[in-house]
Amino acid sequence: MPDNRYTRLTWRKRRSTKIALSAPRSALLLGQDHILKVESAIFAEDYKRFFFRDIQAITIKTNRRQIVWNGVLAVLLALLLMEGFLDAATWNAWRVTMVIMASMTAVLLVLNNVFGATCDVRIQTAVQNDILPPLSRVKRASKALELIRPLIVQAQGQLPADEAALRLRELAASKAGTTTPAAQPNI
Amino acid sequence: MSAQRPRCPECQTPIRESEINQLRFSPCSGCNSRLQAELFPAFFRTPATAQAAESVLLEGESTCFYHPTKKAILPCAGCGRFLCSLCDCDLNGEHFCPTCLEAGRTRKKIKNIERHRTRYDNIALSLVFFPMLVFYVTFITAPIAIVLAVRHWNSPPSMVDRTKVRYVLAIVFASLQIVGWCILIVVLIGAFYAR
Repeated sequence: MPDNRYTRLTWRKRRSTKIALSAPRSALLLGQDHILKVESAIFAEDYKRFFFRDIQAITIKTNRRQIVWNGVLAVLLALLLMEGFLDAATWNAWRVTMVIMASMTAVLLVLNNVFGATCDVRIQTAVQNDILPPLSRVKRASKALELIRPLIVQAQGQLPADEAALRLRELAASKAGTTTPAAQPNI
Repeated sequence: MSAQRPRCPECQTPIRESEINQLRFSPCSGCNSRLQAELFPAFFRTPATAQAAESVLLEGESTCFYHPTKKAILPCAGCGRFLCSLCDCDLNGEHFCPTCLEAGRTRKKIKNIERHRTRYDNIALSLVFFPMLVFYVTFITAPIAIVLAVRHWNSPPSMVDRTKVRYVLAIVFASLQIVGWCILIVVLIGAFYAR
């Protein structure tokens, strides 16, 4: 059960690029005015807070992790089934073991597809740009974003798409305006 | 406006303006990954610049505790001392002096700046279970585990797992180990005198 001031946004998840058991596991909790990222190692926890009023951008980018895992699990499943069924001379207990392992692999394969496409979610503030490892599936990330978005809007106000585009153009123009004179040689 | 234009995390290509805040995925123009980018008004906010503290002009005006020549603008939420704009540290709407902020960080009194917690419950539990691989070490580690569990019973727990079940398990199993050692010692002494 998380701290009373927080509600759980995601369960703990190890960063997908790190396989070692010592790699910290990450969880997201939702506070009154911020998101708390908890990185748990074995004997310690580290916290990062993203206050709703400071969040500048959230980016979700799909990746190929689901496809890679599908490939790995499919190959493993095929090998286990071949080992279990093709060799008629095999010992019965060995065959049963292979079938059990194959069914476990099949379950993982199904789950990998039930959970849907994988993604990387990045959150940007004025001072940091951090990845949120627990939001590794598009479905979960979209659901979390649906939950967070109104809170950010409440803290900062609405930014419609056309206004964002307009202000980005202004930003680009102002940057171009400030950099052009500096680029000219000072004779 | 200080922010960089949002970029694709994969290829660093700037995301097209027409694709921002559309609440749907669209392909990145650089690497073709599917992207959804949401910007919020804080992206365009100008970073706040530090204010210079005003000097005291009139006699009788309250002054900053740390800078007696500067005009106080508000009291510290921690200690109540008057602060000038230079000493004012705004923490999510609450105003602290640098000393209280530092004390809050080190003594963990201000929850919102706490960045680290030690998991004493996991340490105690590990001191019970890992030494069982080399069982005679438990003679030393079991009492340490109990002391640790009792001493840190009221320490701030994990933000994620708030139960004390690990402390309880550590105390129970460490007690069993100690009881086991006591029985072994009694049996050995009995056997020694029976000889």
